[in-house]
Amino acid sequence: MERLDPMLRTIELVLFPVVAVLMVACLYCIFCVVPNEVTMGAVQRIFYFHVPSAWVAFLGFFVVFVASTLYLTTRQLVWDTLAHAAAELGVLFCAIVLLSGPIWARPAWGTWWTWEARLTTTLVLELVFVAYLVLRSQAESRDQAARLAAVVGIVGFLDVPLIYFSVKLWRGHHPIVFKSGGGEGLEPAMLKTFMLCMFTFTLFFSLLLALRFRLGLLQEDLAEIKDREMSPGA
Amino acid sequence: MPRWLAAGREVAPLNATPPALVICVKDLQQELKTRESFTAAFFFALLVQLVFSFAFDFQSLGLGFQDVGAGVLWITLTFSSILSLQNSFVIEREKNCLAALALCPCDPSSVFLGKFLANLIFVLAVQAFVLPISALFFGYDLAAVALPLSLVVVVNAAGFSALGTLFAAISVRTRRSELLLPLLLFPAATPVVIWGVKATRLCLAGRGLEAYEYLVGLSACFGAIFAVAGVLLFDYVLEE
Repeated sequence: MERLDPMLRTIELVLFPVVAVLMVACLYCIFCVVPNEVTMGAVQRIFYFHVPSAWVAFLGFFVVFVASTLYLTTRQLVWDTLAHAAAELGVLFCAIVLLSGPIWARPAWGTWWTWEARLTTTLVLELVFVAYLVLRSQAESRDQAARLAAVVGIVGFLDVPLIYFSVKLWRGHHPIVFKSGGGEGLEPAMLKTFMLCMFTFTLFFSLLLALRFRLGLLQEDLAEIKDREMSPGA
Repeated sequence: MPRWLAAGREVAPLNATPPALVICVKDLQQELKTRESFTAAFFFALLVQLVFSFAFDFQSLGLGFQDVGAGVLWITLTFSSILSLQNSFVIEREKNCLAALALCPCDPSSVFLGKFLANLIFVLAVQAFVLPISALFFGYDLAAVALPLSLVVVVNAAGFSALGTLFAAISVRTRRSELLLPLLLFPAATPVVIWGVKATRLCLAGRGLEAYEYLVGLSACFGAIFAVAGVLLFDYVLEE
Protein backbone atom coordinates (compact mmCIF):
# COMPACT_ATOMS: atom_id res chain seq x y z
CA MET A 1 0.00 0.00 0.00
CA GLU A 2 2.74 2.50 0.95
CA ARG A 3 4.52 1.81 -2.32
CA LEU A 4 1.37 1.58 -4.40
CA ASP A 5 -0.17 4.89 -3.43
CA PRO A 6 2.52 7.22 -4.84
CA MET A 7 2.82 5.03 -7.92
CA LEU A 8 -0.90 5.25 -8.64
CA ARG A 9 -0.83 9.01 -8.00
CA THR A 10 1.96 9.42 -10.55
CA ILE A 11 0.05 7.36 -13.11
CA GLU A 12 -3.01 9.54 -12.57
CA LEU A 13 -1.05 12.78 -12.83
CA VAL A 14 0.60 11.69 -16.07
CA LEU A 15 -2.48 10.14 -17.67
CA PHE A 16 -5.02 12.81 -16.82
CA PRO A 17 -3.72 15.60 -19.11
CA VAL A 18 -2.81 13.09 -21.85
CA VAL A 19 -6.31 11.56 -21.86
CA ALA A 20 -7.94 14.99 -21.73
CA VAL A 21 -6.05 16.20 -24.80
CA LEU A 22 -6.51 12.93 -26.70
CA MET A 23 -10.23 12.83 -25.97
CA VAL A 24 -10.69 16.31 -27.46
CA ALA A 25 -8.60 15.22 -30.45
CA CYS A 26 -10.84 12.15 -30.84
CA LEU A 27 -13.99 14.25 -30.81
CA TYR A 28 -12.49 16.64 -33.33
CA CYS A 29 -11.55 13.76 -35.65
CA ILE A 30 -14.92 12.06 -35.29
CA PHE A 31 -17.02 15.13 -36.00
CA CYS A 32 -14.79 17.26 -38.23
CA VAL A 33 -12.29 15.02 -40.03
CA VAL A 34 -13.78 11.66 -41.00
CA PRO A 35 -16.15 11.59 -43.98
CA ASN A 36 -19.71 10.30 -43.70
CA GLU A 37 -20.12 6.59 -44.19
CA VAL A 38 -21.82 5.92 -47.54
CA THR A 39 -24.69 3.64 -46.50
CA MET A 40 -25.14 4.38 -42.80
CA GLY A 41 -24.53 8.13 -42.78
CA ALA A 42 -23.63 10.25 -39.78
CA VAL A 43 -24.85 7.75 -37.21
CA GLN A 44 -21.94 5.46 -38.06
CA ARG A 45 -19.76 7.87 -36.03
CA ILE A 46 -21.08 6.24 -32.87
CA PHE A 47 -18.75 3.37 -33.69
CA TYR A 48 -15.67 5.37 -32.79
CA PHE A 49 -16.89 5.22 -29.19
CA HIS A 50 -18.86 1.99 -29.31
CA VAL A 51 -16.12 -0.40 -30.40
CA PRO A 52 -13.40 1.03 -28.11
CA SER A 53 -15.85 0.75 -25.19
CA ALA A 54 -16.40 -2.92 -26.04
CA TRP A 55 -12.66 -3.54 -26.21
CA VAL A 56 -12.09 -1.79 -22.90
CA ALA A 57 -14.93 -3.73 -21.24
CA PHE A 58 -13.36 -7.02 -22.31
CA LEU A 59 -9.99 -5.75 -21.12
CA GLY A 60 -11.61 -5.02 -17.75
CA PHE A 61 -12.99 -8.56 -17.47
CA PHE A 62 -9.59 -9.93 -18.42
CA VAL A 63 -8.01 -7.87 -15.61
CA VAL A 64 -10.64 -9.35 -13.24
CA PHE A 65 -9.59 -12.84 -14.32
CA VAL A 66 -5.85 -12.20 -13.89
CA ALA A 67 -6.26 -10.35 -10.57
CA SER A 68 -8.60 -13.06 -9.23
CA THR A 69 -6.11 -15.79 -10.10
CA LEU A 70 -3.31 -13.80 -8.46
CA TYR A 71 -5.45 -13.25 -5.36
CA LEU A 72 -6.16 -16.97 -4.96
CA THR A 73 -2.48 -17.86 -5.38
CA THR A 74 -0.91 -15.07 -3.26
CA ARG A 75 -3.81 -14.22 -0.88
CA GLN A 76 -2.94 -10.55 -0.95
CA LEU A 77 -6.05 -8.39 -0.71
CA VAL A 78 -4.49 -5.83 -3.04
CA TRP A 79 -5.25 -8.12 -5.98
CA ASP A 80 -8.84 -8.41 -4.91
CA THR A 81 -9.17 -4.64 -4.70
CA LEU A 82 -7.81 -4.45 -8.25
CA ALA A 83 -10.27 -7.13 -9.44
CA HIS A 84 -13.16 -5.21 -7.87
CA ALA A 85 -12.10 -1.97 -9.55
CA ALA A 86 -11.71 -3.67 -12.93
CA ALA A 87 -15.09 -5.42 -12.63
CA GLU A 88 -16.88 -2.14 -11.94
CA LEU A 89 -15.25 -0.51 -14.93
CA GLY A 90 -15.99 -3.53 -17.09
CA VAL A 91 -19.67 -3.34 -16.18
CA LEU A 92 -19.67 0.42 -16.81
CA PHE A 93 -18.13 0.18 -20.29
CA CYS A 94 -20.28 -2.83 -21.13
CA ALA A 95 -23.31 -0.68 -20.29
CA ILE A 96 -21.99 2.04 -22.61
CA VAL A 97 -21.72 -0.58 -25.37
CA LEU A 98 -25.26 -1.80 -24.71
CA LEU A 99 -26.63 1.76 -24.75
CA SER A 100 -24.73 3.09 -27.75
CA GLY A 101 -25.40 -0.03 -29.83
CA PRO A 102 -29.19 0.39 -30.09
CA ILE A 103 -28.84 4.11 -30.88
CA TRP A 104 -26.86 3.06 -33.93
CA ALA A 105 -28.93 -0.04 -34.70
CA ARG A 106 -32.24 1.79 -34.89
CA PRO A 107 -31.40 3.83 -38.01
CA ALA A 108 -28.94 1.28 -39.47
CA TRP A 109 -30.80 -2.00 -38.98
CA GLY A 110 -34.25 -0.57 -38.42
CA THR A 111 -34.54 -2.11 -34.97
CA TRP A 112 -33.34 -1.22 -31.47
CA TRP A 113 -32.28 -4.70 -30.59
CA THR A 114 -31.68 -7.96 -32.38
CA TRP A 115 -30.77 -11.32 -30.83
CA GLU A 116 -27.48 -11.59 -32.59
CA ALA A 117 -24.28 -13.27 -31.36
CA ARG A 118 -22.21 -10.26 -30.33
CA LEU A 119 -25.12 -8.35 -28.83
CA THR A 120 -26.38 -11.30 -26.87
CA THR A 121 -22.89 -12.22 -25.64
CA THR A 122 -22.32 -8.66 -24.42
CA LEU A 123 -25.65 -8.68 -22.60
CA VAL A 124 -25.00 -12.07 -20.96
CA LEU A 125 -21.50 -10.95 -20.00
CA GLU A 126 -22.88 -7.79 -18.42
CA LEU A 127 -25.31 -9.92 -16.39
CA VAL A 128 -22.52 -12.29 -15.25
CA PHE A 129 -20.44 -9.41 -13.93
CA VAL A 130 -23.39 -7.59 -12.40
CA ALA A 131 -23.98 -10.83 -10.46
CA TYR A 132 -20.28 -10.71 -9.51
CA LEU A 133 -20.76 -7.23 -8.04
CA VAL A 134 -23.96 -8.28 -6.22
CA LEU A 135 -22.09 -11.25 -4.75
CA ARG A 136 -19.42 -8.91 -3.40
CA SER A 137 -21.99 -6.74 -1.70
CA GLN A 138 -23.72 -9.77 -0.13
CA ALA A 139 -20.66 -11.46 1.38
CA GLU A 140 -20.34 -11.65 5.13
CA SER A 141 -16.73 -10.58 5.49
CA ARG A 142 -13.99 -8.90 3.49
CA ASP A 143 -11.94 -12.09 3.08
CA GLN A 144 -14.97 -14.10 2.10
CA ALA A 145 -16.02 -11.54 -0.49
CA ALA A 146 -12.54 -11.69 -1.96
CA ARG A 147 -12.40 -15.49 -2.10
CA LEU A 148 -15.89 -16.11 -3.49
CA ALA A 149 -15.67 -13.23 -5.95
CA ALA A 150 -12.32 -14.53 -7.21
CA VAL A 151 -13.88 -17.91 -7.98
CA VAL A 152 -16.78 -16.27 -9.83
CA GLY A 153 -14.37 -13.94 -11.65
CA ILE A 154 -12.37 -16.89 -12.95
CA VAL A 155 -15.41 -19.01 -13.86
CA GLY A 156 -17.12 -16.02 -15.50
CA PHE A 157 -14.13 -15.34 -17.69
CA LEU A 158 -13.80 -19.00 -18.71
CA ASP A 159 -17.44 -18.78 -19.71
CA VAL A 160 -16.95 -15.91 -22.18
CA PRO A 161 -15.78 -17.93 -25.22
CA LEU A 162 -18.40 -20.59 -24.51
CA ILE A 163 -21.19 -18.03 -24.38
CA TYR A 164 -20.00 -16.40 -27.59
CA PHE A 165 -19.72 -19.71 -29.39
CA SER A 166 -23.11 -20.94 -28.20
CA VAL A 167 -24.92 -17.76 -29.16
CA LYS A 168 -23.22 -17.79 -32.55
CA LEU A 169 -24.54 -21.29 -33.17
CA TRP A 170 -27.95 -20.18 -32.02
CA ARG A 171 -28.22 -17.06 -34.16
CA GLY A 172 -26.74 -16.13 -37.53
CA HIS A 173 -24.04 -13.71 -38.48
CA HIS A 174 -23.20 -10.18 -37.51
CA PRO A 175 -23.07 -7.58 -40.27
CA ILE A 176 -19.39 -6.78 -40.46
CA VAL A 177 -18.85 -3.13 -39.78
CA PHE A 178 -15.11 -2.91 -40.15
CA LYS A 179 -13.86 -5.27 -42.81
CA SER A 180 -10.61 -6.98 -41.88
CA GLY A 181 -8.39 -7.58 -44.90
CA GLY A 182 -9.32 -7.75 -48.57
CA GLY A 183 -11.84 -5.65 -50.46
CA GLU A 184 -11.91 -1.89 -50.50
CA GLY A 185 -10.99 -1.69 -46.84
CA LEU A 186 -11.51 1.36 -44.71
CA GLU A 187 -11.07 4.96 -45.71
CA PRO A 188 -7.62 5.94 -44.29
CA ALA A 189 -9.03 8.84 -42.25
CA MET A 190 -11.59 6.48 -40.71
CA LEU A 191 -9.02 3.88 -39.82
CA LYS A 192 -6.71 6.46 -38.27
CA THR A 193 -9.52 7.98 -36.22
CA PHE A 194 -10.64 4.54 -35.14
CA MET A 195 -7.11 3.62 -34.02
CA LEU A 196 -6.79 6.94 -32.17
CA CYS A 197 -10.06 6.23 -30.36
CA MET A 198 -8.94 2.72 -29.42
CA PHE A 199 -5.70 4.11 -28.01
CA THR A 200 -7.44 6.94 -26.15
CA PHE A 201 -10.00 4.61 -24.60
CA THR A 202 -7.29 2.22 -23.45
CA LEU A 203 -5.52 5.10 -21.69
CA PHE A 204 -8.85 6.40 -20.36
CA PHE A 205 -9.57 2.94 -18.93
CA SER A 206 -6.11 2.82 -17.33
CA LEU A 207 -6.68 6.21 -15.75
CA LEU A 208 -10.07 5.22 -14.34
CA LEU A 209 -8.67 1.91 -13.14
CA ALA A 210 -5.83 3.67 -11.30
CA LEU A 211 -8.32 6.08 -9.70
CA ARG A 212 -10.76 3.34 -8.67
CA PHE A 213 -7.94 1.10 -7.46
CA ARG A 214 -6.53 3.85 -5.25
CA LEU A 215 -10.02 4.63 -3.96
CA GLY A 216 -10.44 0.95 -3.03
CA LEU A 217 -7.12 0.96 -1.18
CA LEU A 218 -8.15 4.10 0.72
CA GLN A 219 -11.50 2.52 1.62
CA GLU A 220 -9.64 -0.43 3.06
CA ASP A 221 -7.38 1.83 5.11
CA LEU A 222 -10.42 3.62 6.43
CA ALA A 223 -12.13 0.35 7.39
CA GLU A 224 -8.96 -0.70 9.21
CA ILE A 225 -8.80 2.56 11.16
CA LYS A 226 -12.47 2.27 12.10
CA ASP A 227 -11.91 -1.29 13.29
CA ARG A 228 -9.02 -0.17 15.44
CA GLU A 229 -11.09 2.59 17.02
CA MET A 230 -13.99 0.28 17.74
CA SER A 231 -11.76 -2.11 19.67
CA PRO A 232 -9.08 0.02 21.35
CA GLY A 233 -7.88 -2.85 23.50
CA ALA A 234 -6.87 -5.00 20.52
CA MET B 1 -16.07 -64.97 3.82
CA PRO B 2 -12.60 -65.70 2.41
CA ARG B 3 -9.80 -64.94 4.76
CA TRP B 4 -8.10 -62.38 2.47
CA LEU B 5 -11.28 -60.40 2.04
CA ALA B 6 -11.96 -60.30 5.75
CA ALA B 7 -8.39 -59.22 6.38
CA GLY B 8 -8.76 -56.45 3.82
CA ARG B 9 -11.89 -55.19 5.55
CA GLU B 10 -10.12 -54.95 8.85
CA VAL B 11 -7.29 -52.91 7.38
CA ALA B 12 -9.34 -50.39 5.49
CA PRO B 13 -12.95 -50.26 6.59
CA LEU B 14 -13.69 -46.70 5.43
CA ASN B 15 -11.20 -46.05 2.70
CA ALA B 16 -12.86 -48.72 0.58
CA THR B 17 -15.50 -46.28 -0.77
CA PRO B 18 -14.34 -43.01 -2.30
CA PRO B 19 -15.35 -40.03 -0.11
CA ALA B 20 -17.23 -38.41 -2.99
CA LEU B 21 -19.53 -41.42 -3.12
CA VAL B 22 -20.03 -41.34 0.66
CA ILE B 23 -21.15 -37.70 0.47
CA CYS B 24 -23.41 -38.42 -2.49
CA VAL B 25 -25.06 -41.35 -0.70
CA LYS B 26 -25.45 -39.26 2.46
CA ASP B 27 -27.32 -36.58 0.51
CA LEU B 28 -29.54 -39.05 -1.27
CA GLN B 29 -30.36 -40.88 1.97
CA GLN B 30 -31.26 -37.62 3.63
CA GLU B 31 -33.51 -36.76 0.70
CA LEU B 32 -35.14 -40.20 0.77
CA LYS B 33 -35.97 -39.71 4.45
CA THR B 34 -37.45 -36.22 4.19
CA ARG B 35 -38.45 -35.97 0.51
CA GLU B 36 -38.58 -32.20 1.09
CA SER B 37 -36.57 -31.17 -1.90
CA PHE B 38 -38.12 -33.64 -4.31
CA THR B 39 -41.69 -32.73 -3.47
CA ALA B 40 -40.95 -29.04 -3.82
CA ALA B 41 -39.06 -29.42 -7.11
CA PHE B 42 -41.61 -31.78 -8.59
CA PHE B 43 -44.65 -29.66 -7.83
CA PHE B 44 -42.81 -26.55 -8.85
CA ALA B 45 -42.06 -28.19 -12.22
CA LEU B 46 -45.74 -29.03 -12.62
CA LEU B 47 -46.70 -25.45 -11.79
CA VAL B 48 -44.29 -24.14 -14.41
CA GLN B 49 -45.99 -26.34 -16.99
CA LEU B 50 -49.37 -25.08 -15.88
CA VAL B 51 -48.25 -21.48 -16.31
CA PHE B 52 -46.93 -22.44 -19.72
CA SER B 53 -50.21 -23.85 -20.88
CA PHE B 54 -51.96 -20.64 -19.77
CA ALA B 55 -49.31 -18.42 -21.28
CA PHE B 56 -49.18 -20.03 -24.70
CA ASP B 57 -52.64 -21.55 -25.03
CA PHE B 58 -51.38 -24.52 -27.05
CA GLN B 59 -54.68 -26.02 -28.04
CA SER B 60 -56.31 -22.98 -29.61
CA LEU B 61 -53.07 -21.97 -31.32
CA GLY B 62 -52.55 -25.53 -32.58
CA LEU B 63 -49.00 -25.81 -31.24
CA GLY B 64 -47.64 -29.33 -30.79
CA PHE B 65 -45.18 -30.59 -28.23
CA GLN B 66 -42.49 -30.89 -30.90
CA ASP B 67 -42.75 -27.10 -31.45
CA VAL B 68 -42.67 -25.90 -27.88
CA GLY B 69 -41.58 -28.99 -25.94
CA ALA B 70 -37.89 -28.11 -25.97
CA GLY B 71 -38.58 -24.72 -24.43
CA VAL B 72 -41.05 -26.09 -21.88
CA LEU B 73 -38.64 -28.83 -20.90
CA TRP B 74 -35.63 -26.59 -20.40
CA ILE B 75 -37.40 -23.88 -18.49
CA THR B 76 -38.89 -26.52 -16.20
CA LEU B 77 -35.53 -28.21 -15.76
CA THR B 78 -33.55 -25.05 -15.01
CA PHE B 79 -36.17 -23.58 -12.68
CA SER B 80 -36.73 -26.74 -10.68
CA SER B 81 -32.99 -27.46 -10.55
CA ILE B 82 -32.41 -24.10 -8.90
CA LEU B 83 -34.57 -25.27 -5.99
CA SER B 84 -32.70 -28.51 -5.48
CA LEU B 85 -29.24 -26.98 -6.02
CA GLN B 86 -30.05 -24.38 -3.41
CA ASN B 87 -31.34 -26.95 -0.99
CA SER B 88 -28.30 -29.21 -1.32
CA PHE B 89 -26.20 -26.56 0.44
CA VAL B 90 -28.85 -24.90 2.57
CA ILE B 91 -29.30 -28.20 4.47
CA GLU B 92 -25.59 -28.06 5.28
CA ARG B 93 -25.89 -24.58 6.74
CA GLU B 94 -28.05 -25.84 9.60
CA LYS B 95 -26.04 -26.67 12.72
CA ASN B 96 -22.97 -25.52 10.81
CA CYS B 97 -22.60 -28.75 8.83
CA LEU B 98 -20.69 -26.78 6.22
CA ALA B 99 -17.81 -26.48 8.64
CA ALA B 100 -18.02 -30.22 9.27
CA LEU B 101 -17.88 -30.86 5.53
CA ALA B 102 -14.86 -28.61 5.26
CA LEU B 103 -13.20 -30.56 8.07
CA CYS B 104 -13.80 -33.91 6.37
CA PRO B 105 -10.56 -35.87 6.18
CA CYS B 106 -10.69 -35.87 2.39
CA ASP B 107 -9.84 -33.61 -0.48
CA PRO B 108 -12.31 -30.68 -0.91
CA SER B 109 -12.77 -31.75 -4.51
CA SER B 110 -14.40 -34.96 -3.21
CA VAL B 111 -17.04 -32.83 -1.49
CA PHE B 112 -17.67 -31.06 -4.78
CA LEU B 113 -17.87 -34.30 -6.75
CA GLY B 114 -20.18 -35.89 -4.18
CA LYS B 115 -22.53 -32.92 -4.14
CA PHE B 116 -22.43 -32.68 -7.93
CA LEU B 117 -23.31 -36.35 -8.31
CA ALA B 118 -26.16 -36.14 -5.81
CA ASN B 119 -27.51 -33.01 -7.53
CA LEU B 120 -27.35 -34.63 -10.93
CA ILE B 121 -29.17 -37.76 -9.77
CA PHE B 122 -31.74 -35.54 -8.14
CA VAL B 123 -32.35 -33.38 -11.22
CA LEU B 124 -32.67 -36.49 -13.37
CA ALA B 125 -35.09 -38.12 -10.92
CA VAL B 126 -37.35 -35.06 -11.07
CA GLN B 127 -37.16 -35.08 -14.86
CA ALA B 128 -37.99 -38.77 -14.98
CA PHE B 129 -41.35 -37.90 -13.45
CA VAL B 130 -41.95 -34.56 -15.12
CA LEU B 131 -41.16 -35.55 -18.71
CA PRO B 132 -43.82 -38.27 -19.05
CA ILE B 133 -46.38 -36.01 -17.39
CA SER B 134 -45.62 -33.16 -19.75
CA ALA B 135 -45.86 -35.51 -22.75
CA LEU B 136 -49.23 -36.55 -21.38
CA PHE B 137 -50.33 -32.93 -20.93
CA PHE B 138 -49.36 -31.96 -24.45
CA GLY B 139 -50.33 -35.23 -26.13
CA TYR B 140 -46.96 -36.35 -27.41
CA ASP B 141 -45.62 -39.88 -28.01
CA LEU B 142 -42.53 -39.79 -25.81
CA ALA B 143 -41.69 -43.49 -26.16
CA ALA B 144 -40.51 -43.01 -29.74
CA VAL B 145 -37.71 -40.62 -28.76
CA ALA B 146 -37.13 -41.77 -25.18
CA LEU B 147 -33.55 -42.99 -25.65
CA PRO B 148 -31.99 -40.08 -27.57
CA LEU B 149 -33.94 -37.61 -25.43
CA SER B 150 -32.56 -39.17 -22.24
CA LEU B 151 -29.04 -38.79 -23.64
CA VAL B 152 -29.60 -35.07 -24.35
CA VAL B 153 -31.17 -34.47 -20.94
CA VAL B 154 -28.46 -36.36 -19.02
CA VAL B 155 -25.55 -34.60 -20.74
CA ASN B 156 -27.01 -31.12 -20.45
CA ALA B 157 -28.26 -31.62 -16.90
CA ALA B 158 -24.72 -32.71 -15.99
CA GLY B 159 -23.30 -29.45 -17.38
CA PHE B 160 -25.93 -27.38 -15.61
CA SER B 161 -25.41 -29.22 -12.31
CA ALA B 162 -21.61 -28.92 -12.45
CA LEU B 163 -21.74 -25.14 -12.69
CA GLY B 164 -24.79 -25.02 -10.42
CA THR B 165 -23.11 -26.97 -7.62
CA LEU B 166 -20.13 -24.61 -7.62
CA PHE B 167 -22.34 -21.50 -7.62
CA ALA B 168 -24.73 -22.90 -5.01
CA ALA B 169 -21.77 -23.47 -2.68
CA ILE B 170 -20.71 -19.87 -3.29
CA SER B 171 -24.14 -18.31 -2.84
CA VAL B 172 -24.95 -20.25 0.34
CA ARG B 173 -22.08 -18.41 2.01
CA THR B 174 -23.69 -15.04 1.46
CA ARG B 175 -26.50 -13.27 3.28
CA ARG B 176 -29.16 -13.67 0.58
CA SER B 177 -28.36 -17.01 -0.98
CA GLU B 178 -31.82 -17.52 -2.54
CA LEU B 179 -31.45 -14.27 -4.39
CA LEU B 180 -27.95 -14.76 -5.61
CA LEU B 181 -27.95 -18.27 -7.07
CA PRO B 182 -30.28 -17.62 -10.05
CA LEU B 183 -28.55 -14.31 -10.65
CA LEU B 184 -25.19 -16.06 -10.89
CA LEU B 185 -26.22 -19.28 -12.55
CA PHE B 186 -28.67 -18.29 -15.31
CA PRO B 187 -26.40 -16.02 -17.34
CA ALA B 188 -23.36 -18.25 -16.89
CA ALA B 189 -25.31 -21.36 -17.90
CA THR B 190 -26.53 -19.79 -21.16
CA PRO B 191 -24.43 -22.06 -23.41
CA VAL B 192 -25.72 -25.30 -21.95
CA VAL B 193 -29.32 -24.08 -22.11
CA ILE B 194 -28.96 -22.98 -25.75
CA TRP B 195 -27.36 -26.26 -26.79
CA GLY B 196 -29.85 -28.24 -24.73
CA VAL B 197 -32.88 -26.52 -26.27
CA LYS B 198 -31.52 -26.89 -29.77
CA ALA B 199 -30.67 -30.59 -29.39
CA THR B 200 -34.01 -31.30 -27.71
CA ARG B 201 -35.92 -29.58 -30.50
CA LEU B 202 -34.16 -31.69 -33.15
CA CYS B 203 -34.70 -34.78 -31.04
CA LEU B 204 -38.43 -34.16 -30.56
CA ALA B 205 -38.80 -33.50 -34.28
CA GLY B 206 -37.68 -37.09 -34.80
CA ARG B 207 -34.29 -36.29 -36.38
CA GLY B 208 -31.46 -38.82 -36.11
CA LEU B 209 -28.63 -38.51 -33.59
CA GLU B 210 -26.20 -37.33 -36.28
CA ALA B 211 -28.23 -34.10 -36.61
CA TYR B 212 -27.41 -32.97 -33.08
CA GLU B 213 -24.51 -35.06 -31.85
CA TYR B 214 -22.20 -32.03 -32.11
CA LEU B 215 -24.50 -30.16 -29.72
CA VAL B 216 -24.39 -33.02 -27.24
CA GLY B 217 -20.60 -33.05 -27.60
CA LEU B 218 -20.40 -29.32 -26.91
CA SER B 219 -22.57 -29.67 -23.80
CA ALA B 220 -20.37 -32.51 -22.62
CA CYS B 221 -17.34 -30.22 -23.03
CA PHE B 222 -19.12 -27.50 -21.04
CA GLY B 223 -19.81 -30.00 -18.26
CA ALA B 224 -16.22 -31.23 -18.29
CA ILE B 225 -14.77 -27.68 -18.16
CA PHE B 226 -16.85 -26.64 -15.17
CA ALA B 227 -16.50 -29.97 -13.38
CA VAL B 228 -12.71 -29.49 -13.58
CA ALA B 229 -13.08 -25.84 -12.54
CA GLY B 230 -15.19 -27.00 -9.59
CA VAL B 231 -12.64 -29.62 -8.56
CA LEU B 232 -9.83 -27.05 -8.71
CA LEU B 233 -11.66 -24.12 -7.08
CA PHE B 234 -13.87 -25.80 -4.48
CA ASP B 235 -11.12 -25.63 -1.89
CA TYR B 236 -11.41 -21.82 -1.86
CA VAL B 237 -15.19 -21.91 -1.63
CA LEU B 238 -15.28 -24.31 1.31
CA GLU B 239 -12.68 -22.42 3.34
CA GLU B 240 -13.98 -20.63 6.44
